Amino acid sequence: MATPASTTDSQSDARAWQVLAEGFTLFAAGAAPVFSIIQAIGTLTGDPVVIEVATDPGRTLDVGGTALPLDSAFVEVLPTTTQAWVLAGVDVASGLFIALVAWLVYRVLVTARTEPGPFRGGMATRIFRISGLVMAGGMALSVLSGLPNLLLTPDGAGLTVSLSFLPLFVAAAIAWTAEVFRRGEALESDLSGLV
Amino acid sequence: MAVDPDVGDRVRCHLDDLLERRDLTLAALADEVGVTVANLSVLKNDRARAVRFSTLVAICDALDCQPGDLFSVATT
Repeated sequence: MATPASTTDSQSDARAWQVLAEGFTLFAAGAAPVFSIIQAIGTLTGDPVVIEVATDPGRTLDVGGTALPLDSAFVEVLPTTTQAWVLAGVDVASGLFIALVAWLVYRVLVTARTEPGPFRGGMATRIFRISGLVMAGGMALSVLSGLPNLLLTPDGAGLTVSLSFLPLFVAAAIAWTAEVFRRGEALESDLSGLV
Repeated sequence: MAVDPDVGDRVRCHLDDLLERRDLTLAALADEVGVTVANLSVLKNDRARAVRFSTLVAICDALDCQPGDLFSVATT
């Protein structure tokens, strides 16, 4: 029986989107470490670091009759050599973390396209790994993002380091998806060879 | 006692013998039972890991036999 043209078109459209998503994640996996290394080199070679510092609480700026709160400002600071190495290390670690997550997402997308069914090829394991990385790496990065302020403003003018729980919730959602795939793999295994 | 998923390898199917005794082909049985030849072939060659009761009953009806005639479990 001939396949209707509209079905073939939508299948090739879906395949094109899949390949595009794979390309994007592969690019992210390759580009993230490169950009982070470039940024780290910049920090080590004397580029100023932009930090957010606290100003007078309650101070406002009048813009067209509207009083905008102005309790923080961005300033450029030149780090010392030790500080520059620490900040460069954080840059590289962030880049590697993003690359690792992007690589795992890329592998999930490739498996989804090439395997005959969704519950194969170790999808659940990969998604669980992504979940763990997002939780641990995401929370670590949220703390480390405040490191420049902490290092470069010893007089306490820097804003305090904040801990974001968003990665925790995102990781929980990803882990839930992974559990769906794990159960799917178990069911598929039970049904294989059924006559 | 926990179920070991690998013990299914010990189950032997005697479909070949039963077909031969009744002078039937796999294709004819597949036609009568309503299961594909490919699936019956999986069963015949001991590659099946599970059998639906409906399939088992249909095969037993078609071959006028009991499940015990169709399968045996090899000793370890």
